[in-house]
This record gives sequence, C-alpha cells and structure tokens, in this order.
Amino acid sequence: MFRRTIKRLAALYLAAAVLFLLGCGVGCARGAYYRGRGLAGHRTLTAQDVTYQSIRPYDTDIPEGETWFVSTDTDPQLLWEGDAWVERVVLHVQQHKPATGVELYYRAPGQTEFDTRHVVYGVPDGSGGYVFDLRGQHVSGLRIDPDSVGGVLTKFDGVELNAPRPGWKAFVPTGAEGVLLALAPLTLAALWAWGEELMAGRRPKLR
Amino acid sequence: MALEFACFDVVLAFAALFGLAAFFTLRCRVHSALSPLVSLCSISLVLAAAGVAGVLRPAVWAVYLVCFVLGAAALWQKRQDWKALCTPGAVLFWAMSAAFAVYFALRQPLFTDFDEMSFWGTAAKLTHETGGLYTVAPVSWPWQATQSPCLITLGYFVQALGRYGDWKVYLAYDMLAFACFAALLGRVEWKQYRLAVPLAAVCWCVPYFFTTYNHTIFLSTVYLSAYGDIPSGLVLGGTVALWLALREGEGPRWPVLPVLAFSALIKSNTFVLALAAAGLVAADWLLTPGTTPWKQGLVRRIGFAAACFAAPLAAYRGWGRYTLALALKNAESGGMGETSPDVVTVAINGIRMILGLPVGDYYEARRSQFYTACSDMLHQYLTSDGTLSMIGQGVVVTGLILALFFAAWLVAGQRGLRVRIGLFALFSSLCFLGYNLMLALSYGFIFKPFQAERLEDYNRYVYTYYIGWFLIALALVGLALRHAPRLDLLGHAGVLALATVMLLRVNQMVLPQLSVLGFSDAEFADRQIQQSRAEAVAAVTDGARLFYVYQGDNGLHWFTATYDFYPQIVDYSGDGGGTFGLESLRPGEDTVEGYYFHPYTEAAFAALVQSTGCEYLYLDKVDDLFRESYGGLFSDGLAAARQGETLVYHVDSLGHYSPVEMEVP
Repeated sequence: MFRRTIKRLAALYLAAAVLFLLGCGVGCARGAYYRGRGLAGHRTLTAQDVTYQSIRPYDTDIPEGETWFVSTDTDPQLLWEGDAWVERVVLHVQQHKPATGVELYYRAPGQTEFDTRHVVYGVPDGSGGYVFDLRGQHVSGLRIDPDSVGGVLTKFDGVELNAPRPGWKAFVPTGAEGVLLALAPLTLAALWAWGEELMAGRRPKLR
Repeated sequence: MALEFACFDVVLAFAALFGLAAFFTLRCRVHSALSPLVSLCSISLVLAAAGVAGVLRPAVWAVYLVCFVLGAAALWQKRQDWKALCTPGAVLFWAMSAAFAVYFALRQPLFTDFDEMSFWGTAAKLTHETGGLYTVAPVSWPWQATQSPCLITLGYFVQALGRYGDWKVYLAYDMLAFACFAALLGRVEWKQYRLAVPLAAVCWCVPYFFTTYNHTIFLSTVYLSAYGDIPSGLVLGGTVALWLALREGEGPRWPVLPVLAFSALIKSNTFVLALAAAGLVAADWLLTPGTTPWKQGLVRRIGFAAACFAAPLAAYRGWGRYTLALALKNAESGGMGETSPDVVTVAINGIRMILGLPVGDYYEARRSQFYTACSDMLHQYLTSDGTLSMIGQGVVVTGLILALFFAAWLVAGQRGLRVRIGLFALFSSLCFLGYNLMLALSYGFIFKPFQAERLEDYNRYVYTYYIGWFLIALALVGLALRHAPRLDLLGHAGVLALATVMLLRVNQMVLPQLSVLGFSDAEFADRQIQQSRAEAVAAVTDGARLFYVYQGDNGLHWFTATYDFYPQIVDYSGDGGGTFGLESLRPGEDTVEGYYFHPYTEAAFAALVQSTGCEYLYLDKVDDLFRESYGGLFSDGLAAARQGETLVYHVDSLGHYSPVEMEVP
C-alpha cells in the first residue's frame, strides 16, 4: 500500500516536472526562433526611446547626464512602440519614495489597446529597480507604470529588454508555477488512489 | 531601546495566555486547539468589563496574575497530561503567533489607514496610555467614542505591561485570527495531517481571498490592519467551528459562550453576527440531539440554547447602557449626544415598509433611499460590477460556499451528520439574507443619502459574512471528512485542490512586496517623518495644548496628530482638520480645500485660538491662503514658518503669535 502510494506520487511528480521542463523548453525554442529573426536581442531603451504620460521631467539641481522625472498623477506611464520578443524586462530606476505597484503592460501583435489581461508585476531587484518576467512574449508595444501614487521623484537609468542572465534561470518556476508543481501532483495522486480503489470495489461510491 | 526590552510585555502576554489556555485544557477539558480562542475572548471580555467599571489597570494586573497562577498550577498538577497541549491546532496557533511576534518586533509596522487614526489605533493608544477605556480618556474629540471595545482590550492585553507599539495591536488581531484557524482545525489529530495541512493553508488564504478582487498595487493590509471587519468574519466562522469541535468530543460546552459574547462586541454591526452564530449553535444543539431520544434532556438543551443567545445579548445590552449614559453625560457637557435612530426601531419600520404597512414621516421620507439601496445591493451581488473576491461577485462566492456545504453533505455519509450539515446550510443562508436586510436598512435609514447612494463601504460590511460563512462550511467539511474514513482519499484530494486553487489565486493577485510577508520599510517613511516632527514639536511645547493647522487636510492629518502627540492634547481646532482662510479667498468647491473650508475672519481666527486655551500653534502645513488671511496675527508675518525654521508659534497673553526656536526635522 505504502509502496504503491510512493510510486504513484513519484510518477506524478515526475510527470509534472517533465511537463514543466517541456514548457520551458518550448519557450527556449521560441526564443531561439525569434533570436534568429533578430527580434530577441538584448537592448537598452534610453529616455529618448520612450514616450511619457503623466510624467514631467525634473531638472532642478541634478548632475549632468542624469535623467530625472516626477509623476504627475497616480497613473504615470512610460510607453515604447516596437516589434520584439521579450523574455525579461528590467526597469533601472532610483525612487525617492515608495512606488507601491509597478507594472508592465504588453501588447501582442494585432492588439490595439493595453489591457489588464496582458500585465506583469514588477519584482524589486534589490538595487532600486524592478524585474518583469514575461516568460517569452512577442510584443508590439510596452507600457511601464513606474509608480501608482503620483509625485514620485524618479531617477531613470533606462529599460533593458532581454537582459542577459544564466540559462538555467529559464528553468526556475515562478511562485504560481511552484505552487502548482508542489500541490497538483499531490491532489491528483489522491484522486488516482480513490479512483483505483473505486474500480476495485474497495471504496463506496458517493451516495 | 533594546529590542528585548521592547518585547518583554509581549513575552509576558504570551506566558499569561499560555497559562490560561493550559488551565482550560488540563483542568477544564477544553481541547488545546480550542483553548487559545476561548482564552483570548475571555480575557478581552474581562478587560472590557473592568474598563466599564473603571478599574482597567488593576484588572489587567489581576488577569496576568490569575493566568500565571492557574497555568502554573494546572501544568504542575497535570504534568502527566502535557501531551494534550500538543495538537495540530494548538501548534498552528502558537507557532504562527510566535513567528508573527518575532517578525513584527523586527519590522515594526505602523498604522497608516484613515480609520486606524480616526478610531481603532487611537483608541488602542488612549487605552494603553491612560490605563482606562478610550471612552473616558481625555482627548479633544467633541463626540463620544462609543464603538465596541473587545478588539481594543485585546490589543491592550498584549502590551499592557510594556511600552505602546502599533505592531503589538496588529499582533493581537493576528493572534485572534490564528486562534480561529486553530479552532477550525479543532480535533484533527497528527495522523490526519493530510487534512490538517491543506485546511491550514486554506485558512491562511481566507482573509485575502474574500477581500481582494484586484491585483495589489498598494500595500495589502490583510494581517496588517486594526480594522474590525476581517476579525468579525473570522470570529463568526471560528465560533461555529469551535462549537462543532466542542460538540464532537467529551468535555464542556460552555466555552462557546464567552466567544459568542466577545463576537457581539467586536464592532457595532457584529451584534447581528453574534446572534447568527448563537442561532446556528442553538439550532444545532436543540434540533439534532444525536443518538439520544429527542425529548430526553430537552429542558437542559433549551437552557443551553437560551444561554447562547443570552451571552451576546447581555454583553451588547451592557455596553449599550454604558455608552448611552456616557453619551448623555457628554451631551450635557456641550458635546454631541446620540444622533442615529436605534437599530431595533429601524428594523421594525423597515419591515413594516416592506410589508406595505404605514410608517412614520422619517421613514416615509427615506422610502426611495431604502429601495434604491436594495436594488443597488442586488446589482452588486449579481453582476461583475460588484466583484469583491478573488473569484468574483457575491453570487459566485455564495455558489462556492453552498458547494462546500454540499460537498460536506456528500462525504458525511451518516444520516445524523447530514441532517446537521443541511440545517447549518439552511440557517446560515437565512442569516445571510437577514444580514443583507440589516445592511439595506442601514443604508436606507441610518446612513446619509450620499453615503447610501454609493453604498459606502459595502464590500467591507458584506465580506465579513462571506468570510464567516465560508469558514463554517469549511469546518463542516473537516468534520464530515473525519467521520467518513472510507471517503478520505476523495475528500483529501478535494481539500487539497481547494488549497491549491486558493494559494494560486493569492499568489497571482497579492505581490509579496506589497503584503504582510514582504512589505518595504519605506511604506512607513511618511509616518516616520510625521512622528519625528511631532516629537520635535513636543520637545518645545512642554505638554501644552496645541492648536493645529494643516491646510488642505481632510481630517486625516488632524487625527494623526491627535494620535502622535497623545497624551499631549491636540485641540479640535475649528473643525478637526481642514483649511482656514478668509471667505473672500474661498477655494473651489470641488477641491479638498474647498470641501473642508473654514472661513474665519482674522479676528474670528484669533478669537477661536483664544477660546481653545491653546498656548501654541502647531503649523504642520501652511500655504499662501493661510499667510494671506492670517499673516498679520504673527509677529514675523509667518516668515520663520515659510523658511522652514519652525513649526510652532507661541500665543502670548495679548493674543500675538511669535515663532518658537526649534530644530525642524
């Protein structure tokens, strides 16, 4: 009994891991395809490459060569138009007060407006900036909301598309994927066991 | 201040709570997963009663002493039974509470929300600093604070013997939540870990799941709030779960009574929730006697059912009498008295209106407000405009909860248990209707028209019930699964699937950096600046009453200053926050300045300051409007304030204001 349970669990966890790795593999293959087409290269967007909304340049007492801006309401936006395959975006900023939510919206080719179904939330990178993990998307435009409060003084050091990172990082599950990887096989194993015993007539059916 | 010293009071509170919980378990045969909830509620009630009697400070010492003595005696005399203290529910409570105590002690989050400043947090601080209830603490509010006391006294218990800290209030609330989760695990044993672990995971997600409907872009205040709405829901569910576990095994039934009484005094609208819980418990005990014949012990059962109603009723009535007396006294001394119509009259008239019977003028005038509120609430409940949870609007949540009841009914197997589950589903649904009726009545006849129009705080009021309702259904699933060993595999798979889905949704919608588990210190940067300004001002004003000016305030800064300075008193200052200026300079109506505008002439402003008896003006924020209107009253024409050299002006006997030298942070 115990042995069967272990075998079942092992089989399901293995299946989950294989599925996950396959998914990552497909992602990598798509990335390679787009790299071949020249759309997935590493590039850095400067202040000149993006347009602004609800953002005002700030130029009082700032050192030469630095770009500073301040958000004028609670929905500031940095907009970029272009065709690219994007796996990971890094927003390099230093902010003078908590930005609260920092989001990246992306537009798939053919999509006209940014919407809440195509959004990734920024994770702080430890040095003041934010990382957005898109897991590989073909985009026709990006919109980054650098804060959600307004009045945030921000030093802007550029946006990196497809910032290089070690290859194995493509195979690290996100939080949600981790939850699924950990719990879905357990749930399925319990169902499987119940189904087996139901077939064998050792378990009562639901009445 | 050394950290260990700052936390000494919390350690003592843990020890006292553990003592009482151990006493309940070892001497009174209350299961150790249930005793934390019973202990917390009992202590909080005793302190509330002591506060009403005006002996809070001595009572809290007595409570600690009694807890230590009872605990030590029980632990010594019953040392062979210590194993009974270690059950999944108990370990969940103590481990989570200890982890949060350490975490909060290190991170020290602060209050930031409006109502934390306008009531919950300030009341906690008033109670701690004065050693008496917030209702009678000297403060400049012109109204009488009559809100229910139990969460405040709970927050007081955790830190009564030490220095006041916001995070200790959060800790007390979270301990109450964990105690409810422990009660929900109830009599689950270690070998049933396959049930215990996913149940605990579901519990953790519940406060997020039913209160968050959008991706967090601001700090999520779940587990980080002094509001009473989530605790009310958790206690509603926790009370019924506690009852199910009490009834399931040997041991006393009375521990549900203090919890019922406690739940009546969490918030003013939780009395009906306490009655709902009492009704569910009473119906379960009265109508389904189990294996004993129905008539046997009927009188005792009726007696207990009556006690279930009497406990919250007595607590609520007692508090009501106390606050009525206070309000009358306050009205006599020139403050505000009771202004809202009372709930019972509203309910009677509202029901008469629904039945088409004649009602008084007050109610007739508000007929359309009531019916509009009803149809708006129905619209919110049925359509995606009313999305309030991670799975959608009210009707979807109701569907999920009823599905859980059905699942519990399916796996229960035994007829007796199925009848009980059916009754719980039926009565809790009726209570849901009743609760909605009460909300509609409130919007129709108690709230102001503009508040009713936008169903102010509707989500907050209604999700309280969803949280409690869901926990009741979940507790029944747990109970059914433990009594259906032959369906355990399917049941465990179901609970695990539920936990997976909830964890996934929480993970999708709540960003770690914007939740209790990963919030940034910078979230509280503004509050820390406010506090340091308050400290600097306090250092040069020597405890004197302060006249407060913050141009453009909507009341929040005034409440915050009242909180930060206490026990030094910040005056009501005109109207408790707002913008001062000459009538001729009135800002536009659609601005915050215009909405909270106090048009005083220069002479009237001077007379106002004089009448308050304030020795100093604290100019937290002044603008051109203020300078233009009242600059002539200040000896330097407000030059020092403008240059950031001071925040404080001294009021001399002739009514002239001169700048006070200070370090402005």
